[in-house]
Amino acid sequence: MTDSDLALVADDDEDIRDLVAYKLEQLGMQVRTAHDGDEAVTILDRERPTLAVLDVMMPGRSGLEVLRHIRSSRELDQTKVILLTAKAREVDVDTGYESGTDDYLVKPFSPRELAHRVAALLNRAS
Amino acid sequence: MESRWGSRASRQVRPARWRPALIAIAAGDDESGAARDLVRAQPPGARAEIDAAIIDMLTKVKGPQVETMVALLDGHGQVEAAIRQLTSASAARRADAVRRLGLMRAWAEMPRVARALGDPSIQVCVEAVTALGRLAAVKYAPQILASALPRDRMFRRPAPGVSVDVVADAIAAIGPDALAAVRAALVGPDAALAAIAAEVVSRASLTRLVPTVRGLLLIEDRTPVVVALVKALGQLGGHRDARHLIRVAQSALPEAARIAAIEAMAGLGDPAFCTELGDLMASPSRLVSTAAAGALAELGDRGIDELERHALRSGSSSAVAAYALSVRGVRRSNA
Repeated sequence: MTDSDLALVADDDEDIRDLVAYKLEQLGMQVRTAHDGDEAVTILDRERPTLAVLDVMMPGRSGLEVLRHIRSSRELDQTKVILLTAKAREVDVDTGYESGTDDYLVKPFSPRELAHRVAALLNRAS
Repeated sequence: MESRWGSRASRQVRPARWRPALIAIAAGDDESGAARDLVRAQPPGARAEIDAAIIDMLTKVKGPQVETMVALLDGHGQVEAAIRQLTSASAARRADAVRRLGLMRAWAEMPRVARALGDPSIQVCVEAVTALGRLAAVKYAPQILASALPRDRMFRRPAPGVSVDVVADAIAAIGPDALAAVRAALVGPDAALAAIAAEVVSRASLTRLVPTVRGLLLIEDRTPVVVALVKALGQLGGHRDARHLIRVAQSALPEAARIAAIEAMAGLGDPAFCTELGDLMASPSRLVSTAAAGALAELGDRGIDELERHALRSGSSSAVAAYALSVRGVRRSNA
């Protein structure tokens, strides 16, 4: 992970956006935020972030649709994804991994745990 | 003239002074207590807004920082306020009080929250179940399970209980300590409660109870319980469980139980008993034969081979098999 790493946080909940952005900035990342899936895709295509933290249930395109967009885009093949969602059932988690997420966190979540996972994911990636 | 939306956009609300401090607290980054002190130092006029924001935040984060957030609320008298609100004439206000006691981890008030399970309003009961889950109230796990029973006796008219999904979430939130209560309900004499417990096993993915489910399936004959047990086994079982399911499917139990077992076999995805499912297509029960054909269509090449074999025959299973193949063909062409 480097100071120039860029992250996208997409969630329709302002508290979650602020919390996750706060934690990622503490890790030295630059952060862009989106309040729905369509805005998330626009930012992804324009800025190609290293990391995307996506809510699953968002207005516009869902987090899973955004994830599939990432996985189908050659320009975004370096983007790591963490799904952050209230959908905690085993089948939901399986769907997330089958769609290509790198990690999955269930709300309510521990911001510290999120920071640990991000650090592990990006260190492993580098 | 400025549009309504333009006007709104032009007077964007500035974040409150205390919000960055609350974010730091909620993120678990206030070891020094500076953010907590800043929130505490806000004028009394800001408390209602701060408390609402903290309560909202408690639904989103977990970790030791929750204690700091709860202490701030307690300092503002929010626990006492919620207790007073439990006796409100308004069901919405009682439900909100129960929800807040759960979010504020008001362990000492657990008995009051449990009493809310008997509230005439289903809305209050739902919040009580969720709150007891948040409070990890293992002592009340039997009551949480029972809250899903119909409440007809209480109201002398049909009244549904709390949704099994809500109950399953609460049991999952309590964690492994709740398994004993679920197991007791599974093996207990109350069929409705045993069926609820079996549903909770599958919806909360309580895999540790699968051996109990498997064992019960050998002796259980109450239809609603068998239906819930086979669904649980279909969702959580392993390949060796297909033999338990085919035994139910071939039994003399009522149609509902046999069909549930057949559908669970499709869910399990084990093609080991395709021949037996093929034989079931000749069942005198049209629903059983159709379910068997539907399951075979879901079981891969071996299932399809079995359907094709029957479709070419002249027996009673021929039309059912041919129809299942035709439906499968349409589905594939539309996919």
